[in-house]
Amino acid sequence: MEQNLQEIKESIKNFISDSFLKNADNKELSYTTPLISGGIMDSISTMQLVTFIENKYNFEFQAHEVDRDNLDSINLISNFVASKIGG
Amino acid sequence: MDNTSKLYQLLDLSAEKSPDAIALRFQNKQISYNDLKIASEKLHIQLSAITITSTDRVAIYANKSIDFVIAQFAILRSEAAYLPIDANAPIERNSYIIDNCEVKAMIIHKSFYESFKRNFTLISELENDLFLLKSNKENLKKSPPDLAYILYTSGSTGKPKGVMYSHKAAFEFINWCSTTFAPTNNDCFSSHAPFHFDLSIFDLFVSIKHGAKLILIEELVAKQPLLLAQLISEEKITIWYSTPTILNMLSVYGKMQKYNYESLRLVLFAGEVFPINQFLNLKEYWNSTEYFNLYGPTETNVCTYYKIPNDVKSFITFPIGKCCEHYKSKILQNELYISGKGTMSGYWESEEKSSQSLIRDEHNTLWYKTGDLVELDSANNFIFKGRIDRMVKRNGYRIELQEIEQALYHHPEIIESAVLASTDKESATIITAFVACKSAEWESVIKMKEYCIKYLPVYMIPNNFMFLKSLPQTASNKIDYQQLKQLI
Repeated sequence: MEQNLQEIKESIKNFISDSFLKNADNKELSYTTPLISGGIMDSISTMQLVTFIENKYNFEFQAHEVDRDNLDSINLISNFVASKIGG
Repeated sequence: MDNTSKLYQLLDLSAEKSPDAIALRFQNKQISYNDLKIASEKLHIQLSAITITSTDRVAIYANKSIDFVIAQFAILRSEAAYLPIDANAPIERNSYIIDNCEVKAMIIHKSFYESFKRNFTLISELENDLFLLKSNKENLKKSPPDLAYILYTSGSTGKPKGVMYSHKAAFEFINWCSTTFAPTNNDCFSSHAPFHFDLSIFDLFVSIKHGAKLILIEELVAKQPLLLAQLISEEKITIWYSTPTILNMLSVYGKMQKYNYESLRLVLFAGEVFPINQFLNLKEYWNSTEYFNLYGPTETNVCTYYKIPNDVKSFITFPIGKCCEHYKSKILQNELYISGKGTMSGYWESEEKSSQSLIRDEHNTLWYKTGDLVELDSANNFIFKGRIDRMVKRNGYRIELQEIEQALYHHPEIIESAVLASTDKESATIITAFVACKSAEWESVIKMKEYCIKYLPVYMIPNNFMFLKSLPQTASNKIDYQQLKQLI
């Protein structure tokens, strides 16, 4: 499970840095960097991330689950994804 | 027969006609026409007690709610002008607007109160965590006659500017909407746009005028397509008005196949170009509704309109259509000019800017110079071709690139900055900032975005940052934007 969570984190991190942080140094993006409140993801990029996650991990977000509480950092996102696919 | 001349009378007339009809719904609350009228009268009394009159401005600093609308009507009832503040924008930008507008009072959610303690006195605590504050300043400037509201929009000097609207001008637009869209008291309008955005004028005043129901959509839902797709269906909205960006977000991400939209009869969009392929995607779900492409800067509100025909396959882009019946138009050196009683009264406290935009011709007719380049197609419809200046549109919001540059220059570590806009393959606006920093430590996209969100509304944050040692210059020592363009 630990290994699994780490893989999720890396995969989400790669997606975010490739899609929303062009020309940025990947090293700066940490698991706790604020994504929505830090201006990195707007509403459209948030939905792009949601679509990426739904396709890769094969589950569907409930409408109310697409919010800051689940998506504002790589840690939050990964924990949410793990809770969905783990249980 | 029609002798209404002030916007609050629209509410009073509807409250008289159908007191128990639902005027507004927000989350799980709703309010009838009569209760909305009574609530706005109560707040009006409090405003009168602090001598708010027709020469004053009163700010409303809160998220969208029923109380926001009560405040709007209370201020209008005191014949002062309301100033809607974007509660999601940085406090620094909002403080500038409040200061610039010289408001006499403010209705503010308590969560924002702290920053204004020094310049305002707390008069009373209203319902639902709102405070009524009075400015400590004296000898405030007086509003021009008949002023109803001021909407601040991005300014080319780097600071927002206030567009002044009179009751009379607002009525020109509202009455045109009645004729063109024939709303009834059976309609259910969406209030998707925030109240500081001019699309809200249609939502609020046209629905209230016709005794219809208005569904207020909170900011978080407004930008979240899954919740939005659900809400439009569940609330049985019949008239929808938003930017194309939102409509596209709905059809791409909203999972709309899950819902029934048979109530929807009219969809209006404005604020930016709606690419045909995106429109066709939406039409898969909303097949039997009428669609209109509305066009107009904040300074005129809607001034041209185009009804989308059933078959759009031959289109490359939608025309912005023909001039609204309450306006006259002309093209001068490819630029669109608009004349009529519906235009703004001018920019707040900026005679110079007003006289550059509102121009009198040799017949003494006043024309608003839109800055938009247009052409006529074979059916005499206007086609939008671009801008004469550096203003761009993103998600329907208007952005002067200078305002972003100014915010970047504010950063102590930034020596030079230049901002350029381009469009991606889906014709979305992409903003790129070129920045020269004092030290390499600050050459970080994440740090720049974190900085921008403190000083700029979210829609102004650049998509991309490029760090240069210094910015290229032209022979006359100005930043060479042409050369920067090559780097995008």
